Amino acid sequence: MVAQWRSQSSLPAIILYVLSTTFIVFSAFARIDERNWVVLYWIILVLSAAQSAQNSFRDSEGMSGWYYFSICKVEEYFFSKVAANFFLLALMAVLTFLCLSLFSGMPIRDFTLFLEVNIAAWIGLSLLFSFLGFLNAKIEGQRGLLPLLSFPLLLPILLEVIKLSTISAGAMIDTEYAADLYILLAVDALILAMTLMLIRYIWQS
Amino acid sequence: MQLNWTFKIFGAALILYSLIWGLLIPLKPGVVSVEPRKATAGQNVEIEYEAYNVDYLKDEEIEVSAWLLLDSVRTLQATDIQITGSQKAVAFFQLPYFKESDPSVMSATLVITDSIHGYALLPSAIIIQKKLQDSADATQNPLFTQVQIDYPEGSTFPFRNILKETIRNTYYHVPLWFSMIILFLLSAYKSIKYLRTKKKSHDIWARSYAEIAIILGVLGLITGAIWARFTWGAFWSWDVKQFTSAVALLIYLSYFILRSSISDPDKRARLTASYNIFAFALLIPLLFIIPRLTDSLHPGNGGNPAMGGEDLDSTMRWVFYPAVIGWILMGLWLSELKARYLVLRSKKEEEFMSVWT
Repeated sequence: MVAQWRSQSSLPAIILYVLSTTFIVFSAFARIDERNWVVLYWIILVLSAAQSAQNSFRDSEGMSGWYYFSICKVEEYFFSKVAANFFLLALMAVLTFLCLSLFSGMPIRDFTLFLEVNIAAWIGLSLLFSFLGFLNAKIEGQRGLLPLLSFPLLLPILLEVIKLSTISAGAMIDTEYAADLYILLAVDALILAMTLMLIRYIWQS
Repeated sequence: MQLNWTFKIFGAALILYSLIWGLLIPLKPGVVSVEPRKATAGQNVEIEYEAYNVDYLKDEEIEVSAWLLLDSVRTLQATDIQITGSQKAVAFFQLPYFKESDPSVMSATLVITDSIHGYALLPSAIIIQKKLQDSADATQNPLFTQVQIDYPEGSTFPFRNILKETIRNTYYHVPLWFSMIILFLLSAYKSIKYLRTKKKSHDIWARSYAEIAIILGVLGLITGAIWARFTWGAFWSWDVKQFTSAVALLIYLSYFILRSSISDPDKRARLTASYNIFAFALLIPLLFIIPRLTDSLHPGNGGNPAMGGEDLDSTMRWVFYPAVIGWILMGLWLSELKARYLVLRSKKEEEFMSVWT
């Protein structure tokens, strides 16, 4: 499914998005402490993930949609989208991380934990946004529903992720963070199981 | 699921029962405040206290007594009690000297009893500083007395110092949430049924359950907020329980937004059923796992007692369990009414369409 990747030719848009949001953030804040750094990082990431997931299902309707569904199964189509969104998210995360570190210093102390949290979060976010983006693409007329549908559902992931990365930044001390990490992975597994079960019913017309 | 009419009447009767008894049964007497909170061993101390749910001036022949409980063996009776108001009195204590093995500071529980209202106590009412007896002073203080505890007649609810009358919220707030969770579960179940069978009525039932569950959830949030106003000090304090339950309601609001934005009925039923199942699955970590890992003021979290601990005695159980069953039956009944109305309406619409085509 190289075509999926090629069709996502929004790399300049992402770089622009990340840079402009970091600039806005820095013109608004004078100084950013560890907690705010972490929260900003995740908010920038979640907003851009929503944006790119919404765009990535543009081709599921109309002629190109029919073409894709004639050559592959819906699961294949969907999970290639998930993979593409995952890599885009990783790219955005690295960019956001670099930008924020360049402008306001780098508060992360426990890198392994931060990386683990990030990967778990990318999996969850890309699955969730792809599922809801796919659902959103099936609605005629109103396309702006994705944030409405996804943000309340995001909260279990977001709460855990912000807590864990605050720990990794040393702004909060908690030695028993393994339980939180397992919950994050369990939520990921839950989303994966749900998408596997439900994706067939979304594509049915 | 259509309820038999006996269940409906039963549910309504149970709610009525819990409303009447939950509001009418009085609380046990309690101690609201104590002054002073500090004393030194071996001295005389006048403790002025304010009691709750007692009336000392009503009966002339009332016998009031007070004790200080230092630990499991040492109890000290007040030498005299002066009633200063209908709910106020001053108790005089002759505090004994400490033993050498005692810690430097001990806290004592104040117990008050009277011949009409029974007993009440305030844990850690007064903090006593250690002082050993001088060898020159030979007088020994009386230490060992027996506490006579008279239980009040009739049924009462327990008195908790912070909760006071708001303990009654157990009968309204908690059953509302129970009922809401069960209706959300049934809604997800009906959505699964719809995806399996594609029968339109399942979609209607899923929608009705979710709608009534949202109403119960909003009521639960409101009763919780009112309770929080009197115990936590503010209607809304971003406690993790308040936060996640508000988010749960937002999730179901977005379910209805999704419903209203799709015009084709079959597609609407299919997509919203998928969303409903997905949302319910994510509700489980949100409502049941994450609040347990975070500090919360809510009963049942962060070491606070709830449900079967010291906050639910047998009198309360007699009101609480009927209220739970009553609200669940009421939720089922309400959603049944909604679903039957929607089924009738869709039939009418089909008739109307068939006339036109």
